[in-house]
Amino acid sequence: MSLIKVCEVNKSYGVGDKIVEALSNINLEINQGEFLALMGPSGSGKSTLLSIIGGLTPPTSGTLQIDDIDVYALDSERLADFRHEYVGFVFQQYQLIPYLTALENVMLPLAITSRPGKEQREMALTVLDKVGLRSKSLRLPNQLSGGEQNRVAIARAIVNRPAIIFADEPTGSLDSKTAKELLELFQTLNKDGLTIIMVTHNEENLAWVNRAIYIRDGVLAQIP
Amino acid sequence: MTLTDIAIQNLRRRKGKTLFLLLTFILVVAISVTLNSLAKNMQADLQKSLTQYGANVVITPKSEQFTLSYGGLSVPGVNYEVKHLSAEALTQLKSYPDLMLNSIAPKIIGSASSADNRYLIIGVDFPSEVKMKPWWHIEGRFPLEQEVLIGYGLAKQENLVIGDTLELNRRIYPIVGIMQSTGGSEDNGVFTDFSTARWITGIDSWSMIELNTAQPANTAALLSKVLPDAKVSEISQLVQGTQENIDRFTSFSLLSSLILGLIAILIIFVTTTGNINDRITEIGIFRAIGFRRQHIFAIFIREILLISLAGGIIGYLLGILTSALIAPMVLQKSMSFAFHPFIALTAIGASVIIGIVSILFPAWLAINIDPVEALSSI
Repeated sequence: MSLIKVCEVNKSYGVGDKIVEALSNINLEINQGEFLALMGPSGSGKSTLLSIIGGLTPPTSGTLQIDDIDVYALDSERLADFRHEYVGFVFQQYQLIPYLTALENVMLPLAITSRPGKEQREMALTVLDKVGLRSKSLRLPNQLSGGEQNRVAIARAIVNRPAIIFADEPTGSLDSKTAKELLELFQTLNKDGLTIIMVTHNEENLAWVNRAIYIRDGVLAQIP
Repeated sequence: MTLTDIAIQNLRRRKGKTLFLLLTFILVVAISVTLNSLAKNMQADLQKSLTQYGANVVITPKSEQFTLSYGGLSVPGVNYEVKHLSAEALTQLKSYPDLMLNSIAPKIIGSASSADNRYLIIGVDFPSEVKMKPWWHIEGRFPLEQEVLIGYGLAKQENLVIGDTLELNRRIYPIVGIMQSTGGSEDNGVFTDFSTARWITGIDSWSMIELNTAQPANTAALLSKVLPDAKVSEISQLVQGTQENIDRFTSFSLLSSLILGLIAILIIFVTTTGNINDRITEIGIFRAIGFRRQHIFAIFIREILLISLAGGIIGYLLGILTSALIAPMVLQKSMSFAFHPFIALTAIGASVIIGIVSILFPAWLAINIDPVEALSSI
């Protein structure tokens, strides 16, 4: 069953007097429960496609439907609500809030819900436990290693029980051992029913995913 | 975790910038409160003097005055052609119904000396005087003929008690009463009845007549006909000069507060706009994980509310402390730590308003940040 439908999506940017076509005529369907890799060289448009599917950047033309919702027909505030409900992001540089502890960073998506503090805390500790960082929940990001920060970012992405996780080069700055642990974690989450879309240019990561999509020069090059 | 928690944690993390903003609020509020407290205290002091001064019209003998200048040096004013208020003046005043007198208190004022000191002698009619000045409290009793009552300051200065005697112009007078401190000129006076005062000073006419009339504004015009040799002063005229000075100081205080407020807005605006640039990534994260614009705006408002509220309260306390400390230098009198609810609420309220006004534009910039541009990795 298709969870995500990308139809005729184009994205262009104005760079000076020139218009750069970042994505051309993208059509794509992603099923619920898939673990998908978006692959391609630097500048191919994979991160742009990720930000469009993640509800962060509207396409120049075309539509995005997630769970039968026409995402870019929503106004900006409803779009924020949509991201909050459906989407979790794991950024390349982890993007943790530096002045919040690991626990507080994980609780961040819950701060705008009506859940009481105790429940928020329990939910955050549960996911920190899941990523193996419960014992370091009171540490600030700068007191954690890169791999640990990445796992905090994953905990933050899943704490609100979204339908989809978007991960942009999550293993890009990790050593191979930590990268393997991270991919194992993704695989576990995927087996729990989460749909995961991961941008990567490391072909070794393909062993962990259900499907891979290649983008070259803004065009889907291959849909195996 | 709430938006307030996020705001508090951010303020804790950015200690330097938080402290700078807090100090800005504290200084602006403290200076404004100091100036306005001093002005308010001056107003209250004047009002108190007016209330305590039972007479609202004072009649004194007319005199001419000029100032000598010799070789560039000014010699203090010289009075000449001093007229007198005759004994009949009192009869004339009492027989003039248009004056609408509530009470009348004539005085003979002169001086007398002993071997060591000179004294201010005030001859009064005690029943009339007490009617006009109900705040007089006497320890002992009012003097009869050839007896005196002394002010609290004089008693303390010369260590005199009831039963002691006072030498005045080579005669000894028993002290039968001591007036409790009034904070006024009475504290150093020697009070007696008219006949004794005439005996001591040799003055036979009235030195001053205090009136309490229902129509002080019309009294001056009426009395110029009744007593052509008298100078009539309404208390409102006497305090007018002081009032004008106080009004000027009050206006200066308000204007200074306004300018300080504008400077504060500018400083906070520049600082917070700079902070927004440092926090673009953070704002991008908030937006990416589903924070609405109003949530981000609420975080900024909470941050500035916390700082401005703390700054307002500390600034107010510092302001009243400073005004109490510098009052002896500025007003030549001490000032207590008076809590003025209006100044407190205005100061703290103004602090909060300054904060919110300053943050509006930076917060507007923040909520309109594109999350993708903010997160360079996406």
